[in-house]
Amino acid sequence: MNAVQQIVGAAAVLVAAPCMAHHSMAMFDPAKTLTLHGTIKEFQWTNPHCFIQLLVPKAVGPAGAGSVVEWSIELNSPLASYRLGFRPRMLKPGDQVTVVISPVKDGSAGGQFISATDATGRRLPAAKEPT
Amino acid sequence: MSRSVPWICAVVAVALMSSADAEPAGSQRERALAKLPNWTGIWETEAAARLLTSHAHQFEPPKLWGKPPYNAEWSKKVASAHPQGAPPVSASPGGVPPAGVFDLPPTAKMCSAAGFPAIMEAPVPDYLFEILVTPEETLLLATDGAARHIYTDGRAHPQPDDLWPTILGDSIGRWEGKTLVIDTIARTAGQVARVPGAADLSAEAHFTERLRLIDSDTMQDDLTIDDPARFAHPWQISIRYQRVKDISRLIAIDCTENDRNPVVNGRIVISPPR
Repeated sequence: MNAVQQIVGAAAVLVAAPCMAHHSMAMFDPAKTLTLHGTIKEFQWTNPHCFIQLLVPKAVGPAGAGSVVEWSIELNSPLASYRLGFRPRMLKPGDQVTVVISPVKDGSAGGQFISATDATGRRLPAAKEPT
Repeated sequence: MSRSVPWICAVVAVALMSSADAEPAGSQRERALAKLPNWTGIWETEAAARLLTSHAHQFEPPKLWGKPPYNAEWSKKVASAHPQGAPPVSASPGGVPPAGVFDLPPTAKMCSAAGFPAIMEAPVPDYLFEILVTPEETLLLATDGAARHIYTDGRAHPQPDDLWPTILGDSIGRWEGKTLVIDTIARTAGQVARVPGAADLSAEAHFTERLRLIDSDTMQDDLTIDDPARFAHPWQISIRYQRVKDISRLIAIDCTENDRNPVVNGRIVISPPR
């Protein structure tokens, strides 16, 4: 499986996490999703947004073998994240996770968090369903 | 007789200390407190609650971001500030927010103290507030650190020489049954939010609110803004709140802590981690 899988299309945003709108969302491309398989470098539990710093192996092949790209994945604020079921020590350096994001439009290694699963396939967090 | 004097003094001293530390049972203040509604708890706008669980980014612009009933002079000023037409933010005053996905202008950020009246209509579920009701004042404490004091001890607004505009203004209130009627003046002139098109008020704006419980978990604020310098007639808005049950304490937020979204070349980006 590739470390980065890209899905394009409006149907791909069905599991989108809430937008907290501390700033415009114009930087993200809601029509695309990327699935990133990587290793947690850092989980920033900070205001106004939490961030997952994820180390993702570069594309398979002689040129990319062994190197990684660090992705910055933006979540909600700590308070809103907490209300959604996240906890500050939920993600630890070294954890293997799969994260689905809406990428930034400028092509840099960043995006908006949509969903995540751990190495066993368990959804993170134990998501609260809409009421 | 002389030996009993110190003992009597001690009894009197203890009695005086007790009366200073605690209200005697059935006191006037206790009776006043008993008559007041218990609004203790954490509250958020219904729009923010919907956003928290929205899987479709259904941000609802506050009604306060809509166009108030400006007079002819201010309608012209607003139109000249937005020559392309309507401001990018539009909401029906007092009505239902526009349907569909809403976004802020591409470089807009909302990372500053909300102030009044924005504090009463936060559109995101981390700008929450707690309410404490006492006979002397009702205190509204917000996650952004704001403390809105609504004095209900019968005092008037300060005299002009003792009053100047602030981001929260000066609020006094009175109880009509279980409804708190709030009168606010001396709010700093300017827009209610740093968003293009948001209502722009003068420092002479006069705010009247009727805050009450609809049921044990629902509260409503009927807000009337009278700004004769800019409005053709008063502007009325109703804001609904619901009790927050998924957190047990008010947790402070601070937008300056780790802002990784600078505006670079006219657009917001994600900066590398520090």
